[in-house]
Amino acid sequence: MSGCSDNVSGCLGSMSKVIIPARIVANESRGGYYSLKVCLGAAEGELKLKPGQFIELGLGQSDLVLRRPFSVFQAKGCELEILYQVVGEGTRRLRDMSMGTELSVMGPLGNCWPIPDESEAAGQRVLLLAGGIGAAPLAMLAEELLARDVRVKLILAARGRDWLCEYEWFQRLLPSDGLMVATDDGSVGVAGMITGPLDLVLQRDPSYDCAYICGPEPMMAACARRCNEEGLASWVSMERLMACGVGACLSCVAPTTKGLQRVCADGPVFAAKEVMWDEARASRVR
Amino acid sequence: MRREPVGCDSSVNMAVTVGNLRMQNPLTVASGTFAAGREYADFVAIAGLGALTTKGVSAKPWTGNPGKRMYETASGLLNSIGLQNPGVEVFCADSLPWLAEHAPGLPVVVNVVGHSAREYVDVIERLEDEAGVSAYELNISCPNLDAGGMAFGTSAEAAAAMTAAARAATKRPLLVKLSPNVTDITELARAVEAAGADGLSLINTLLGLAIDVSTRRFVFERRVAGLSGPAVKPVALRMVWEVARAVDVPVIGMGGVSCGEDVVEFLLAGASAVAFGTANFANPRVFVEALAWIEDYCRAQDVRDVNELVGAVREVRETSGYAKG
Repeated sequence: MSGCSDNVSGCLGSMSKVIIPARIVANESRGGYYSLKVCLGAAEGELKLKPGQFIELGLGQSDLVLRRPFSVFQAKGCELEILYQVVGEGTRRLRDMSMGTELSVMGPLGNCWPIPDESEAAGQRVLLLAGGIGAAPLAMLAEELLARDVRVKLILAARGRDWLCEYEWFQRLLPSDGLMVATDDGSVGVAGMITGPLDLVLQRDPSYDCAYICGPEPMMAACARRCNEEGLASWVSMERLMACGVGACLSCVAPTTKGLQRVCADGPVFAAKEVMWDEARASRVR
Repeated sequence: MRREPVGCDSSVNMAVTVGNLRMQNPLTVASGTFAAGREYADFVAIAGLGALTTKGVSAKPWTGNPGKRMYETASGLLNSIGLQNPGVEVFCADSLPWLAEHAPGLPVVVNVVGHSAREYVDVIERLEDEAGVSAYELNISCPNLDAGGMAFGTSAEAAAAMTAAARAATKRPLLVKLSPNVTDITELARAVEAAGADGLSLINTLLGLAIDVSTRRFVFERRVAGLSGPAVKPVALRMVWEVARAVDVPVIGMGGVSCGEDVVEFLLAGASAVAFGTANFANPRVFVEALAWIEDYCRAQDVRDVNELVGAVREVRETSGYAKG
């Protein structure tokens, strides 16, 4: 059924973690979201990210004692791009920061999306399911899968046009039959939730190798259930409030069939069938 | 008299002793903020600490608290982790061997937690023959438990009884971590000193509360949670100063310590060693940077031994003249 590796933790500890000064080179609105580009400065090590890993961004605000965890949308050379939504004081301040502001990047953190080995990747077919800004950690994954000749179909969903995350970017990346869109208000693509087009896709052809899902937790739970019903293995990237980001403080645990797991260090990527969605509700970010 | 110029070779003695616990420098970490070191080893050479204080270890595995566990506040952090830990057996099987291999010689202070006096003693008895343990820190001050934790640390009688029970179970240095959620912390300090504590750690977190106005619900399932971070530093410093004057045993100061300057403040207030807590989250290298700052400070102040700073705060009216008239 699944050619995707079962071992989510395969990338743990395989590369060094660093704390690097980072200067803002762009910080602009993108529809309902914002894009932040930073240029990484010199450090003892190089920041090498695998798709699905995240960073902790230090905002340099003395009254905000914690770093902020962010998925990485793009990492090219010394430049890192994250996408964010203004949801609280930290992201509000981040939005108002200008070019040249010095930040601090700590990473790479967490595990990564399991990707089929190069020897068996070619010709495999996978689904990517993105809800809102959950598309961000799927972008580098999509690129990596395409580079391995995996056939990718993305269903990009959001509440409306402005919240379709990086729609044009994904249009450029994927062939036209590789991208479907659903919006709650019907402003683009199919009207309604992501499960509509997902059901269509699975009815037409349930023989995908696996699905990668990222978005709001109810959306991930619903997609994972559909995939599970079709016997399709799926992976989800979880979100929790984090303090340390490295597995020490136990702030970000989520309930799984393996017990409480640290989203920052045991995740953020989990096999969807292991997440106990109902029990997870109480510790959700929003 | 002409002072010697400050030079690179003017070495400062940084070693301190807390009870019988010898530390190469006065810096440690606050329990629960550094796990047992492993998670931070990717970022910093943990062997550079004066001592490593572990997250709370219980006799049996604890799952911690349900619901949200962390909430940032102005210059601070509320937590309701609830001492989730895999228990003393896993600690002995995993954490101690890892520390022995990766940080040999680093003193390890094991923070001990329990729901009852028996459970605290069970942990100590299990650890007593483990070579990798240097000292115990009795956690009678965690505010995130329904039984145990702070319940033992807010009554002088209960705190003393707990300390005496632990004292009888070990020959190793025994520290007791005090709660700030009391009317007079010196009363607790004197009680546990009399019961045999070799040193005191303070403060644990301050009891706090947060409400989500959009849902009108408490943020935390236990409603109350523990406040840490720079917001609590002046309170912690005041309590360290009060306790250091009230007891003869050494004090490890903690509470919002974020830089070398904060460390020196706590030393001057009477702490013999100082712990970084919440600050580790934003900067795992904070203790290394602080150590360099403190050494520079000592040189600039003509201090040859960091122990000279302990309790060396000057009285308000020590110098007069300019203030008059």
